[in-house]
Amino acid sequence: MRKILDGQQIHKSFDIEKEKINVLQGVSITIYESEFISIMGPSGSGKSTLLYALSGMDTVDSGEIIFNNQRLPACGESELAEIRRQQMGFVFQQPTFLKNLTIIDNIVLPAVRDNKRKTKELAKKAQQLLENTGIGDLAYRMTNQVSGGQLQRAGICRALINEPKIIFGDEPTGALNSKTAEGMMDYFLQVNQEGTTIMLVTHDAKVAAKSERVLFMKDGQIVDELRLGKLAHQQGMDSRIEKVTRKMLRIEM
Amino acid sequence: MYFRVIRNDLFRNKLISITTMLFISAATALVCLAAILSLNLIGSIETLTKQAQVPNFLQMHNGNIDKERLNNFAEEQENVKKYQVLDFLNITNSSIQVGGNNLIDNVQDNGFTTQSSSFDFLLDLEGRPIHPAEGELYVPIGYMTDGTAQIGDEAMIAGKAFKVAGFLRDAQMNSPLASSKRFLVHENDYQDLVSKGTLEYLIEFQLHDTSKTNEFETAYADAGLEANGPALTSTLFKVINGLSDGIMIAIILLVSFLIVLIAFMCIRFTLLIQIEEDYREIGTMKAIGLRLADIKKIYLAKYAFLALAGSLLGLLVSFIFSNPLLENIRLYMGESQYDSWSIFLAILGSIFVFLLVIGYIYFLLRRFRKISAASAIRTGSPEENTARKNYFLLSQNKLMSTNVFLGIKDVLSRKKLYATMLIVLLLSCFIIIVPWNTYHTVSSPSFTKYLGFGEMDLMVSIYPSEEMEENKQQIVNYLNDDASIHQYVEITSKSFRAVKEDGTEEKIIVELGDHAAFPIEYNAGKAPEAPNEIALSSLNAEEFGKQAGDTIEIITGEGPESFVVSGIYSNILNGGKTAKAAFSDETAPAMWLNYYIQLNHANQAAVTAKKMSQVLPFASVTDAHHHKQQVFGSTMDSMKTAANVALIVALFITGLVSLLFMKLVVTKDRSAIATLKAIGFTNQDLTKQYAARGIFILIIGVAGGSILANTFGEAIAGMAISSFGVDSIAFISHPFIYLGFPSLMLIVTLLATKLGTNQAGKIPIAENIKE
Ligand SMILES: Nc1ncnc2c1ncn2[C@@H]1O[C@H](COP(=O)(O)OP(=O)(O)OP(=O)(O)O)[C@@H](O)[C@H]1O
Ligand SMILES: [Mg+2]
Repeated sequence: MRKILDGQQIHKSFDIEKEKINVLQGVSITIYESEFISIMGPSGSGKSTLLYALSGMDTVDSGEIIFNNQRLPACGESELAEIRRQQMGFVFQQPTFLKNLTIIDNIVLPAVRDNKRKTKELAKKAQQLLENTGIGDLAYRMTNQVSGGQLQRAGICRALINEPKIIFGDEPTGALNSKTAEGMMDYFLQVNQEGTTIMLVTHDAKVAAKSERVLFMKDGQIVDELRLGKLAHQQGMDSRIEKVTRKMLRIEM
Repeated sequence: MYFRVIRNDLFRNKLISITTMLFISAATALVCLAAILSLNLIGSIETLTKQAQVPNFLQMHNGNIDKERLNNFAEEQENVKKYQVLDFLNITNSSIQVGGNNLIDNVQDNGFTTQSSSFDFLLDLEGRPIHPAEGELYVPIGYMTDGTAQIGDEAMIAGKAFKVAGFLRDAQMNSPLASSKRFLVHENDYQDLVSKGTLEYLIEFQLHDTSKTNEFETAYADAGLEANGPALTSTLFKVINGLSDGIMIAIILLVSFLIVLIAFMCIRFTLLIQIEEDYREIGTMKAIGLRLADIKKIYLAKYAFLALAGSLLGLLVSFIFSNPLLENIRLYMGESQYDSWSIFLAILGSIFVFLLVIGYIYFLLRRFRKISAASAIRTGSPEENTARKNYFLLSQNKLMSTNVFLGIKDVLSRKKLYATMLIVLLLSCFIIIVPWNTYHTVSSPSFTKYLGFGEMDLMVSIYPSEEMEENKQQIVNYLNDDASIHQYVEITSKSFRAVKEDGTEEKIIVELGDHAAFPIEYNAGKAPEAPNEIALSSLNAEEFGKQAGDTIEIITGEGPESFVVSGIYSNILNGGKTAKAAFSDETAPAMWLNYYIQLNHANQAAVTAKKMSQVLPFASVTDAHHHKQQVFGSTMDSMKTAANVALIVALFITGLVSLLFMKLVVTKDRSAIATLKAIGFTNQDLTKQYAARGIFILIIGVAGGSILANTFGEAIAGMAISSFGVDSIAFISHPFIYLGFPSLMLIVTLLATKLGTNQAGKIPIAENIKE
């Protein structure tokens, strides 16, 4: 299998009032093409920080990150932006939309910048993505006129509009009720089956249990790993959840 | 208890707080300055009028004089309090040498006189009548300020030596707009000079009842007394004295009005942003039962503090600046009797601005009532208008680049926010265009058309004398022979009597000749062409109660004749009361004769004028450009200075407000910026988006400002120019004013935008994506 994202010995620290806190202390992580990977860990263990580092949204102190054969630490600001725009998709816990644009405009936003002439096709594509997530009739609403769950689904549509190599999610289901969260996860699974690599940060064992591999973080390091294999037809969910929960409990102790 | 909240708030928004305060102080300073200056100007004029004992009616006369007859007239008139005839000894400018300067290039009529014993005194700088010793020369104050003369200078007047002993204030002729200047010498010296110049007379009256000056003027004219020259009244002296400073005060008032508006915009804008930022907290406060009045109090206290500090500072600044500005008024007219009153008025002015600001804050805070606790907590920001959401969609945009689209969309969807910047840019544009257009209009060659004379290069005048016919022929011969002359026209001024509405008769001076050759601008109607047509100056039209199309009865050599008023024009010469007609009347005596001359090359005016005055020594030759420069030069210079100052101020305001505004918007947009960066927009994209917003607002602002300047601004400028006696003007503009200056604004806006938004690139995604 081909490596899509490879991070080695990543260090990252923050300076707070002259005190240096090391948030990532030599993290190494390798993600393969078409993988569905979850990251779990106690609050403050550095999960989000790792995600921002791997996607080039934040710089690192030291270490190497290679995404799709490109060395991210060597890239400039606009190169990183281009990589994020064309090859990555993001879904965050809080919906991050431009408030003065409609849902569909928010979705085409990352795509029209480079393809203004294809606006029509892009709008059509966005509409199709909305239909796929079941909110096709909300395309022309403003972002404050739909529910949180609907907005999260719109977020996935935006992440998918440029057909990225990888989608990063930082607790994309964190603000949703369990039923909505499950629907979201199923959609992620479907996208993954179509070939897109997915990396999610989550607190929820039920979410992690649907992924192929779970990495556990603690105090800025990856301390354990659980290989669950691809989920087929929702089978064996209970035992997968149990395995994740057990490991999680042990790490938190 | 609010003290700490307010203090923290002021510190948190240092830049905003300081700017708001500065605008308030600038507004206060200007309002107070205008108050101080105008009251002192009025006071000084009154002091000068009182000290100099200005005549209520003055008839200048050039020619022989029958003192006996005048005496009788003065005694018969019950209204006459005092009467005198003063000499004005006109000496050619080339014979006047003061220090190292010869007055040959001066266009004023410079004359010499002795101190009056009765009234119309020439005063020293302390306001006392001067009694010069023999050999002493007192020089008009204007020659001190323009550097022509200094105390102690040696002077040579028509071959006689003098020493400049001091400077004099002349309540009649101080102003550069008055065409004559009086020098003062000792009686004995005067006798020595008399033979060297031509004598003119100032026939002066002081009246018991000054409200009947107009009646007296008519009575004088009716009596058929000496009247070869303009007649003037004390009201006109006051106006002329106050004019140039009056214009300055008017400009200061206008600018202060605009600055108050800009200060309001600043306040509105910061308050709006703050309310939005505090929105959730306000909701919470309301939810836990804090009363609205309490919340208002916090805001009000903060701005009351800023307004208080600002208006105190402004008051102080106005006191500091009033002294240098008052210097000119004091120098020309002396101390004002209202000095302490003006301070009182200035304090009132600052209180007025303070109250205005507080009132405005009250007005703005009314929007608080509309915030419901529930909606504030839920959405966290005031609801933006989402009613018309389906227009201007990115998913349908093929025209603009995405960045430009996002910039414009943002402006359109947050109109209230951007209205502030728009109004400031609009006002800035207005502040730039109006003074420049005014200056350009007044300084353009065709402006003379508004002053009642055509676009001529030279004017040759002669007064009636024995050799008149001979002289005329000489002039005409010269004009026909000189190849550098493009065209000329002969205009004779004659005095007639015209019948007023109430049946009484009044003197009217009519310029007879071909008025098509040097066309002028008519406020209404057109030039007189047919022999039964006449055009009136606006003052005369008012005097006789006529409009274009009316008929007026004039008594000519043939008896009373009816004329149609063909047009009305503005004119400031001869007290503004003139008329133009094309008929001829050989019986009426000419008062003076003018030749208007247009050269092939206007820049030859000075040379040709010199040549002509040598060849035609009996005529007075005026270089129209030079004349205009000397009469209006100082006024035009101060207009240009004002226009330049306005330009710099407006550009500064544009830059400062754009900078502040963009900085605040970036802070406000943190999470949107983080989102855009996360999904792959570069820093350059962000810069372009902000620039698009800036340019979009600027375009609307400049368009609006230009329209406003050409309507409202033109009207205001027209009012200012009407002090020259011009009634209605249309701006004569220059492409640079509408293209160049907005381009400057564009550069400033873009620089400010760049500077104000470069922080946007540094906003970390991770910390701001969470909202
Ligand atoms: N910008 C920052 N400045 C200083 N410290 C930070 C910053 N961002 C994160 N940290 C610190 O780094 C550590 C890891 O933060 P991070 O957000 O990665 O945790 P997390 O694992 O995502 O936690 P959670 O599950 O609560 O989201 C925390 O101790 C946090 O306080
Ligand atoms: Mg996190």
